Amino acid sequence: MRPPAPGRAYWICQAAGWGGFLAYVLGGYLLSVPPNAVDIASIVFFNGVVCPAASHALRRWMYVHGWHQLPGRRLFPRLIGVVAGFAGGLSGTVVLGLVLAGRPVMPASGAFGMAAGFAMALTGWLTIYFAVQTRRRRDALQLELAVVSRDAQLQSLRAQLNPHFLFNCLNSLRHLIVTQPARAEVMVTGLAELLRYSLASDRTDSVALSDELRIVDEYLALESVRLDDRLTVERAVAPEALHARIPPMLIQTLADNAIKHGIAELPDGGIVRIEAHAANGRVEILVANTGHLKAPAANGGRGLGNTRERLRLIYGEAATFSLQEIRGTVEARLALPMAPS
Amino acid sequence: MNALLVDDERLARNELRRLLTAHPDVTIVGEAATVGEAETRLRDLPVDLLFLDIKMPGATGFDLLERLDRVPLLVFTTAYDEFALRAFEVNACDYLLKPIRPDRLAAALDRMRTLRSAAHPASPAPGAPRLRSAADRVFLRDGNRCWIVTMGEIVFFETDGNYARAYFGANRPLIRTSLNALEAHVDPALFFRASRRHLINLRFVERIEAAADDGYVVNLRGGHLVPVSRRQSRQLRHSLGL
Repeated sequence: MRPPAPGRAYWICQAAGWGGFLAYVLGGYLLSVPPNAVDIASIVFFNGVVCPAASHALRRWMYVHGWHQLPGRRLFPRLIGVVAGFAGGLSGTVVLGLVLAGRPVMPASGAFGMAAGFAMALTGWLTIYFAVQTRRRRDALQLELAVVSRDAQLQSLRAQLNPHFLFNCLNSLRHLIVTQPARAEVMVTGLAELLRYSLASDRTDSVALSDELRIVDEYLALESVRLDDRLTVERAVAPEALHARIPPMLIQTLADNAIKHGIAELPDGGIVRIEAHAANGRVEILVANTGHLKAPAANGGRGLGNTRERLRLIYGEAATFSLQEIRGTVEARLALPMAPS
Repeated sequence: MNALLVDDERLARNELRRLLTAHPDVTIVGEAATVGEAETRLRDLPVDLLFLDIKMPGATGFDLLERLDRVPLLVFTTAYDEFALRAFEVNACDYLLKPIRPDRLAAALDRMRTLRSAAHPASPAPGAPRLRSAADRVFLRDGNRCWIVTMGEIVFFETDGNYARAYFGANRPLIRTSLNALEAHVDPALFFRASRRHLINLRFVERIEAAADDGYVVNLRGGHLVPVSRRQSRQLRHSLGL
């Protein structure tokens, strides 16, 4: 289990951090004692090579042993051990080198100061490393959550055929099979189209407005069989609007609402009017029905609440939706970009 | 049995009519497409069996039932909202899902015949309003729960604000009628106005005891106690034939 290849930011941090540390130690050395080539070489070697290499190896070790997943109370003792081992090991090596080279060993306070310097340097490295790691993991998690919840929301908001409509339709159909077989034939075909479209809508993000309107026509034709002469349909669709891409079942849901809360509630029936126009890269859609807006369900109940939420998730602020009653006609108005971004 | 078909869809009514031709003892006396029409038909026609759709323009089948003084034998027909019917006590009515299966229709009719021979009298004469008697079925609704009970099963009614509560079994639904209106519609041989707040079923009276404050307490089966004044208690004994 290798750690992922580090990014550019990691190398920049490594270079800047350890480079800064090397400059600090070397500067301190040059300012305090007369310089000596061996000392300079060993300072460059320990601070500029061993330290970066050790920290890089530590990164890999921590990754392989899953230290990122450890809770704080188990991680901290390990890190303290690593820092102590690192600082003690490096300082010991330096002192040992001096002894072997037969050079005067620095006083104990000097050796401690050196160890403390190494310890602080590595502590600083670890602090930055874990801060960056934590933040990156949190961002990734949030992004993942956002994607998952948006997908789930969109899935749950997908409009489905109203079961009440479906079963009433089958009931009418069974009667027509016996009494008016030719009419039943037309009705079965329409119902099959509608079902196919509704099932396919689970796998499609957008459809041409022309396809959606064709299915809305099928739907309204089926409803008018059910509702007898109580339903009159009017249409005014501009040809240039037909190319617009819209989420599937969007207008069908509005038409279903127009029937369910409008025409079906009126003993003498009424009119459903569908309009679509395109202008300035946007398409405007109207679904209107005879009837009254019920005060408590001003948002039109669950179906339209879902529509609103669905539009928000797909288009953000770019789509508008309104529902209002004007003199005995309930108007649902949509304005969308010609294609979802 | 005289049946009334109530459904807002003509094709649905025709389909039911077609299915009912297999049952010659059922005579269809009328149809209605709205709750208002159904109410009129029920007033004018001798109906003992009601086929009732739940969703109709403007009002639901439940709204119709609430407006009726007595509920005929009842079979709900519905496309999808059978969940609404789960609220019902199961034996008092039946429901059919559309499209209706002929064997389910036959079973529902069998059940209705049994209910009719067991408790239900012959078709009520239409026209003249009649007081509710023990065998008359009424529809009670409280929130999401619904009951169809005979008047004989209700132990007593008690005033609750402007409305009244009906006590039967372990239930006590609130019904949107005043105690005075209830009293005006029930057979006085069955229900007695024991006090300003109580209308009691005489069949449930167990005994009458003297209370501390110069009045009496009626013990009703089921452990209910209803206070009555001295004057009312005399009347009560008279009604009970004591």
